[in-house]
Amino acid sequence: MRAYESLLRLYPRGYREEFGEEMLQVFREVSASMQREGPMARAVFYLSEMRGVLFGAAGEHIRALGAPHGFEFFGKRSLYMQPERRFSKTAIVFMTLVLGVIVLTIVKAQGVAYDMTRSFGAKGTAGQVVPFSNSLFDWPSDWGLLLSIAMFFVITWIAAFVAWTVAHSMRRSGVHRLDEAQTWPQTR
Amino acid sequence: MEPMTESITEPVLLILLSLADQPRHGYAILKDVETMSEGRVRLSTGTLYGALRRLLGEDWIERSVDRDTSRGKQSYRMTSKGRRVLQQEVARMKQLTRLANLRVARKEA
Repeated sequence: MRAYESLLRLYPRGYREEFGEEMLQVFREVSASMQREGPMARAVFYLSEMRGVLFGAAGEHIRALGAPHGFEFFGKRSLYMQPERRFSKTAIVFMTLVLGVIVLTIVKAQGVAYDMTRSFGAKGTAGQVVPFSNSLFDWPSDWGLLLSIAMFFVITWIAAFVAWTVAHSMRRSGVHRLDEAQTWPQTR
Repeated sequence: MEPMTESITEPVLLILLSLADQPRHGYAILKDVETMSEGRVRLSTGTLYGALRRLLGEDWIERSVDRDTSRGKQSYRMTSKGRRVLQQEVARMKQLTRLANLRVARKEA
């Protein structure tokens, strides 16, 4: 339940405020009804819920980007003039997820390349063919290349993080300037 | 008749059908969709609420607080606009089915 609650944080704030509590309630009810099912059915259910939330949240963010008032991408708080601004947690989660997927994809690709080399070898004889591995973590022999690519993405991630922080700081300073602005002089 | 802005997907059609006869809350919609599709379509809560948000945005459904339950759950009911869209979609499907039957019968003859 806590995991589902955490996943709901991926949705834009406005959406969460509107539907979050209700979604949690429905999830609770469906989970309770799933207790009668076997472990496989429960696993399928939880995976389906996870996928639904991930795709749903991504869709909502994309929709918010295309909306006439696109500020919703940063959460509805962006529309209000608050003196304090926090870094968007959704952004951190998405950036980490994207980084993880990219690194895993590279690892998998390297694993497949390694399998192909092993299967078709230098001589290229068909008798030595070894079936391709379907394992998610198929570590390649060439660690150097993998590490350098991973480092590249880590550096990109850090750079994006810093850029985002700067952008949010600038936004905050703008709000502070508004606080200091003089009001229209009163006429007597 | 009102023109549809976009094609209706099967889950959306099933949600509309679920709300056609009476207002329902989220869990009841999920179960009804599963029953109607004989277990073939099992909506996740993410998919359900994504669809409900779009339907609310199109004014095809509206919210109402379910007074029958002690917790005052939100339930959803179809609007007259939503009903018109559903009727239009059903008419389109009827026409398509009629055409398909004709073509299949002609092929078999």
